[in-house]
Formats: sequence, C-alpha cells, structure tokens
Amino acid sequence: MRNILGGNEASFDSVCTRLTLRIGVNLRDLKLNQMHDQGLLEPLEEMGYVLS
Amino acid sequence: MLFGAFSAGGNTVQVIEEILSQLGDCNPKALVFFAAHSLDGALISHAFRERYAGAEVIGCTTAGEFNEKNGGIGGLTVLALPEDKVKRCVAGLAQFGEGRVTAVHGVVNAIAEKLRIDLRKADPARYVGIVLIDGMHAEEERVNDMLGNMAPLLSFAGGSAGDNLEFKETRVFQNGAASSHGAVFLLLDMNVPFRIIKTCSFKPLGESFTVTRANLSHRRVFELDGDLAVRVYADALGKAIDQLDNKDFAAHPLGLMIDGKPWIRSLKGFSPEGGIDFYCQISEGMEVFVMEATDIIAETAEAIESAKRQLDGASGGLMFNCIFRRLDLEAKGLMQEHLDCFEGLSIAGFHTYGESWMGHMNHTLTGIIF
Repeated sequence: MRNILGGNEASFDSVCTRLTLRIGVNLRDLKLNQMHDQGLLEPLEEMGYVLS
Repeated sequence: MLFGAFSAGGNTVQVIEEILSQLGDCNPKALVFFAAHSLDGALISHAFRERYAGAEVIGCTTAGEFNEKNGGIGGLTVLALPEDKVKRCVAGLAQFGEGRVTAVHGVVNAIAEKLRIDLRKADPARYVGIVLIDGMHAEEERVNDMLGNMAPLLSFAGGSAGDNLEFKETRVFQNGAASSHGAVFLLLDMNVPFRIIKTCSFKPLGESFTVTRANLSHRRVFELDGDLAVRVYADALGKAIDQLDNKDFAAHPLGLMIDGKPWIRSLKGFSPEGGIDFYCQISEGMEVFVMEATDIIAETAEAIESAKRQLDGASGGLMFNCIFRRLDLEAKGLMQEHLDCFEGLSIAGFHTYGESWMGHMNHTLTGIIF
C-alpha cells in the first residue's frame, strides 16, 4: 500500500494523517480488507488513490 | 538573505511607508504580510505589488501580528522572500462566493499550470504552499481537504485570517485584490530546503472517548460514548456542568492523537441540547481525548530548534499562531519568551482563527522554516 500511496514513508505518512484528520481512522492500523469493510476506499479515491 | 519588517501601527499610508523604508531595495520573488483588520489590506498589497513589480504579494488580516522581536495588535508584519530562497512562485485568490469547489479548483490548477507542474507529482521537498483562509465562514476543513485531494503529497501551511476577536469580518489579499469570503494560495518553488513545524502544548488528560453523534457542518458534537457531550466533558474535568467556564475550554480542548501527536479541536461553547460546539470539525467515530496543557515555551523552542537542526541552520520563516495561544501567553506573561523562541530567524507571523497543515486545527503554531 505504501507504493500506491506515494511510494515512500513520508508520503504514506502524509496520506495517513490527512485521512485520519478527516474520518478518524489511521490507515496504519488497517489491512486492505479492513479498509474496504470500514468504507475507507471512497475517501481514498477522493484523494486520487484507487486500491480495489 | 530574508527581509523582514514590522510596524506597530498608525494609519495605512504611514504603515506602508514605514515598512517600505525598512525593506528597502530587496527585490523579492514573494512578499507575505499580516495586517491588523483596522488597516486597508488591499491598499497595502497594492502598494507592495507596485513597489516590487513582479513579486507575488499575499496577506491577510489578523488577531495580532509579530516578528522575531516585536508583537502587537494594530500593526503590520512582512517577510520578503528573495530569489536566493525562492526560484519561482505563483499566487491566486479564490472567491468562495462563486462556489468554493469551483473557485479552489480553478485557482490551484491555474497556479500549477503557470508553474508547469503536475500537482500530484511535484517534489514535496522542493515545492511548498502557503494558504490563508478567511476565518469567519468555517470553510477551512473543505479547503484543506481539497488541497489534499489535488496535491496529497505537498504541504500547504497557513492560517485563518482574524479581526482581533471582533468576529465580524476577516479578509485575505493578493496583489491588490481582497476577499472576505475566500482564500489565497501561494505555491513556492524553493531554492533552499524547508521544514514545516506544528506544535501544540497539550497531552491527553485521561482515557479517550468516541464521538457517537455529531453534526459536521455545524462543528458540533452531541454525544461522546453515547452520553451527552457536555456531561462527559464535565465528568472528565471532575466538575459539575454549571461550574464549567471559558477558562476550562481554553485549558482543556479536545484532541485527536495521530501517531502519538495531538491535533487540537478547541471548544466554542455549549449547544442547548447538551452538545459542544467547536472551532473545528469532529466526525462521528473519531476517538478524542480531553487534553491538558504542557510547557508552551519549552515545546515551541524545541519545535523551532528541531527544524533548524534538520536544516543545518535556517534564516527565517512564516508563523501561524492560534489566537488561543496568544491569549494563553498573555495571561501567563510569556509573550516575550515566545518571541525569544524565534531568535536568530527573520520571522513574520500572526495570531490566527485556526491553523492549516494537512487539515484544519486549533490552539497550535504551524509554520514554514527555511
């Protein structure tokens, strides 16, 4: 997932922080299927990242 | 070399003349100013643009202004960024009356086009943005979210314009134009390395609570852990609801903890049905803490010193300091100690109605150091 979200730790941090500020869930704590179950793919898609 | 200037106040023409005489022939690529709401900011930005042809000039009204030596209310502070710091830059003003989404997209895309960059691929170690948003229309979350959607890896740091606690009208400015319902953006292609700072001096007081009912657009939380928000908040402080006052609000905001760092949401007041109004949105499902204060001077100094160490030295920066921090520093008699944290740097800063970086927050100092 780091590769998709910008490719390095700093960019992963950036996306994780932005999303946590919006919806209160930290991506670091989740696997892809959990993100799907929690409806997090849509906010990620808003940010231009399609993970499905 | 950076060029800073500060005026404690006067009428707009006098203040402009005082600042221009301090700046001299500095030939800036960009000029950022923070002006008392009693001054004519459009005239100020027009005068700077006329004096420094080709420079991008942005600014906003404040709840107090400062540089590294002086602070006050009613004046003007300026930082001029010359070519040895900034290779090139473009600014834009979004008027939200035209529709916020359209305005922000249009202005930010136009900035990218002028710089001939792809916002999603631009190097975040080379490009940095400044965003100044009017502080009276609660648009900060959406503006920051849109910046995150358009440029998820770039930092835009900034703050919300103020009017020294009158809460009537705040304004942002660009190259002689003004808006009381909008935002200005400045994207800098830097010639030098930079760091974003974010410091807020709070830690969790106790256990966390989950927001179980909230109204995002009203920045209101009705319930925490299924109980009335005001009752949960009062219990956390060991007080009866009718004992709570503004001092409690200032001393004990709520905060999200992200990777061990607090992101503060300040209380505005109580709603009739037992909810709490904030100066920042809090979503249902968020885990929040009631916070308690830590050492504002030590932590501010450490944030600045840490940035300077990472940069192996720095010459200045732009600072966006929450009005709650100003009030806190004034109450504790620590304003001079706070200014001393910036010793050795050329700083322009203002006391804000909210701080921006990654999102919107309160009771925080954000800034760019280079």
